[in-house]
Amino acid sequence: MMTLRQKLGVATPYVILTISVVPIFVGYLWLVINSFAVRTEGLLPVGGLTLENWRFLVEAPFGRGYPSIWRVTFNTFLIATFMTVLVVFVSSLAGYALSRLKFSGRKSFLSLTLILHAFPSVTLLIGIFFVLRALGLYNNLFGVGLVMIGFELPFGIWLMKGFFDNVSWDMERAALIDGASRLRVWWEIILPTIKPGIAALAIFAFISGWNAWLIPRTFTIGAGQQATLSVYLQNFQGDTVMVQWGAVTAVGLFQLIPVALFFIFTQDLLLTIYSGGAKGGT
Amino acid sequence: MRRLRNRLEAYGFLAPAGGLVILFFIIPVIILFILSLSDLRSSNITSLDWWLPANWSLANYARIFGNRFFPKILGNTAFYVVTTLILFNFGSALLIAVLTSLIERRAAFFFRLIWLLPRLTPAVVYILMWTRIASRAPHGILNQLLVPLGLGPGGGDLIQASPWAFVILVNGLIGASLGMVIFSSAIESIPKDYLRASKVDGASTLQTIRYVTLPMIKWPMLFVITYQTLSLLTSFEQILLLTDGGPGLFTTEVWSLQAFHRALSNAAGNNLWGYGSAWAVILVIIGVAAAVIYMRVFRFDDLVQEPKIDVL
Amino acid sequence: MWSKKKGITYAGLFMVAGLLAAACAPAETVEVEVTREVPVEVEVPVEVEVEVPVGGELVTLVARCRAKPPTEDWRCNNLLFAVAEVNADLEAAGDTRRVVLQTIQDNTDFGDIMQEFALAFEDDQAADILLTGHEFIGTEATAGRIIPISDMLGNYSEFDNVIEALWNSTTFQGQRWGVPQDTEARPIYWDKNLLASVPGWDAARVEGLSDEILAGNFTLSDMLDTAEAAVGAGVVDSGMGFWMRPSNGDDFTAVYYAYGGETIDADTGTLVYDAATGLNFYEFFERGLTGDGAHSFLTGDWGGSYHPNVSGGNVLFWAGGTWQWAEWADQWTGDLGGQDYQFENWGYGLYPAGEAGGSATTLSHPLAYLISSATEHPDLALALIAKATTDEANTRHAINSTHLGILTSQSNYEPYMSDVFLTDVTYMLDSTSYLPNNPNWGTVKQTTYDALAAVQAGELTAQEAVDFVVETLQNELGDEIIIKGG
Repeated sequence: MMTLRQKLGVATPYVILTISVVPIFVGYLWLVINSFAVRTEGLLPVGGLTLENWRFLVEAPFGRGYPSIWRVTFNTFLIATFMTVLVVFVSSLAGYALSRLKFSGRKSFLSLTLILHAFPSVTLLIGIFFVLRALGLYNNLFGVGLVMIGFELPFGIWLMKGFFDNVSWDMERAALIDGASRLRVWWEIILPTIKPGIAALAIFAFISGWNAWLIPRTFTIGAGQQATLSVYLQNFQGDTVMVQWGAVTAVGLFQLIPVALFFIFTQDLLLTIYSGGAKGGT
Repeated sequence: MRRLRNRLEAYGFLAPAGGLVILFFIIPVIILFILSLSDLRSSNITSLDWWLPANWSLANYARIFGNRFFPKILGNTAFYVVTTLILFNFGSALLIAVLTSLIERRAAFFFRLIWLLPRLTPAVVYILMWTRIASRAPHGILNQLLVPLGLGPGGGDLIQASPWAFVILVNGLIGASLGMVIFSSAIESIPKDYLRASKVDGASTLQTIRYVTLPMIKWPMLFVITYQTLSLLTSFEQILLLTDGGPGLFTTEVWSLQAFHRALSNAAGNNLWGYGSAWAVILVIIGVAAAVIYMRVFRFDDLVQEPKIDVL
Repeated sequence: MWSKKKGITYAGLFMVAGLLAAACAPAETVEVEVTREVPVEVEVPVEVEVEVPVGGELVTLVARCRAKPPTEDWRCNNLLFAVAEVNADLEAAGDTRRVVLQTIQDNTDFGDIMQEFALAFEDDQAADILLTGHEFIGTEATAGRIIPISDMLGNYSEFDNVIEALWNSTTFQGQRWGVPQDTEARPIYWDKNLLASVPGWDAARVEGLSDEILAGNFTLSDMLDTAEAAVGAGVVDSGMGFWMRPSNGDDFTAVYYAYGGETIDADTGTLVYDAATGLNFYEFFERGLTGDGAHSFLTGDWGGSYHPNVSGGNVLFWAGGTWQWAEWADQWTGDLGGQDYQFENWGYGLYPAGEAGGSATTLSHPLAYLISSATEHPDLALALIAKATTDEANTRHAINSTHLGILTSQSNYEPYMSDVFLTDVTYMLDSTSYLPNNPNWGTVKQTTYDALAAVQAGELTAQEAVDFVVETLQNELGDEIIIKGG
């Protein structure tokens, strides 16, 4: 039997959290309503409900020269997944080195990567163009991928280093004494213990890849069949043409659903699996 | 021999990240500094040898400091960054992360997911949503609530009435989710033994949070504050779409947005890359100064522990 | 033994390999095959089969267009339709070259397309034909990325058919640099019923308003007077007498031109800012705010404020675009009768002259085909453009995208005449004006807009606004701008 005080204690977080999400919730509720309505006044649909705005799911609205929403979603998924895997991979390699290995320049590298985030990406683009051109990677998906991964690194490296720091030394020590290589220790022993960190990095890397727009736009010439969802959404807007805001809303909602699912997947899978594991002894 | 092997090992681990950082950050940054001394623009990229010192000058900087509104823009930037950081990018992030760690797991996912939605939404659609929230009656959502209650600016556009409130709210809701996810993961990583021990000792929830949880996430806190300060300094897309720096003269114009307006968004297609770089350099100096201060305050050196296994 | 770790390792290697493979694949462009359904034509599939004669050369040209699909797709697709004709001409002339065309077409913003073009040019990957707004000609010509085509235009009779005034939009430093592709106009609209209820107005005068404006007998002051009278008489609510667009755009320059302002010096091609006109410009907007007759807002919701109110009979005068006519009919007045309802209840005309004795005007933003200076076959590029500059080609684009046609013969071309509204507003092109072609225009536009935002928010008076503009322009442009009337 819980006392009133205890019950309040349990309820308080729920109350505060519920209040905090009200604005966001209302906003997204409107987005959903607007995507199914002809027009809206405030939160109320006016002029009836319709499925027209979601037509793009079944009928390519742009004619044959353009990829369908499903092809575009697939493209976006490929890019986002690639990015996530490579960002996690590269960041955790570097994060491990910075956390565990002793070498000169450790602190400088760490401070440097953080400071790099002080540069607005839009102003670095022309400099990156010169680098890509010198490498022959302008208008090349591989070049675009490298740049996108590079931009996530300040975040990824710091995050991973932080999580590695919290892992106890014992397991590693034992494995290294047994003769395992550093790489093996990293891959088989340490990485699995920082699943929450990987989950955190993965979601942000995935979001970056999924919503990527500026870097692909700047360094490729037209997207064609490789268009991503951001490009697809752009096709619905315009300055001197008719814009169907209902369709814009619908595509926007469509764009965020897979990422929301990915978030649930990483949070649920990785964290639940982790919570059962035992931490190594001190 | 071992030392050499250790060093090679370290470099091996660092090579992919190091390579990318050098190629796509360090070199472009050097180019940025050089460009800030030049007048490179779209109309002369074919003819200007911007890398030759003969073509360098401080004209860009003179132009920036000659603009009598740049103190106002600096002030806006400081206000915006500090307020959004404290209220949302750090404050709300920490609050939500701590609160969701106290409740049942499924409910925690749900709340975190809602807080994550702004970050997942394409900017155009997200701003469309906010514009509609703040729109005039009868189409605006907030006004639908406020007008019958007799509150607010009589059904007028709410962004016009309080532009900063919306700019901070709009950006803050996106920014908070980064800290929230990181803090959540960090709190999740705290060995359960500590929390159990704390409970056994009779500590209340608040005490546990204050004396066990928070100290154990010091590194993520430093990281989030520093990283988000820099993020807030350099991002402007939402402000561009929401108020475009208005509604008056530079009312909500921040430094990065001004750089974009003056140099990189040009109605004649003549992007002023050199001029824009000068704006960026000044912003960077501010950002780096902030980062250095943070690292001092949080005693970065202590947090970067010496590795315990170096020679085996 | 297949362990999970091995699986992940192989998957990772596979993905990296895939990424490398993607690196080797050249960037794709849109397929040549095109199918389009248009109101004036039956669905026509186009497949281009090109036979190259012995010893001949197959020339691949690339065209880059901005188009909001599907309505604006004819911008590049007209060029695709032209390929067969051009090849036939080449054969007839005994030329052994044959052309194929690759098109890159999407809805990327013009600013981004121009940056893409500049960077691609640096890497020798620029398109041969570029379709973009004319206002970029100043920058592109100065950079040397496009070629002047004045000398080559005489080779094709199609170009004689283009409305003469439109060539002004592609002229820079005395030469023509592009072929107009489409245009629009920005009229002032008004609600006829509301207007007829204003004291001093009757149905006859309302019907004749567009003529009155054209003759220069109805000025911007008169319009604000009328707007204020309407508010005073309760015909419209306060602040609903006159509305401009809710965000930054080219329409504001129309007001500047209406007051007789100059933006460019004809002889030197240098930008001009006329401070006296600027004062009139800012006073117009200042009055609109204080006189209770107008409500101009710069952070507004197109779908939530502007469209519903202007199409819903709540606003007396409003500034808009000719392309919005069809948009309103499609999304806002559909239940009321669409275009028929609009023809019956709304009027439209040029921007009235700023002051008595001035000329009514409007602003158009033509798009133009430009030819890259890196192309090896500029004559073939121009040949394709010529074949796309016909009644048939231009009309199917105009109708589909609700833009205006660019040819003098279109007003008598039946498919074009099927769109009553477009035909009805074509007369505006004779009085229209354009943004100046100059690489420094961006700074002027941004600065004048900043000052306007200040006036609209009541932070600067009209005079202070002009002073701010003059000071900033001198600071930023120095002697690359001529300040007049200061």
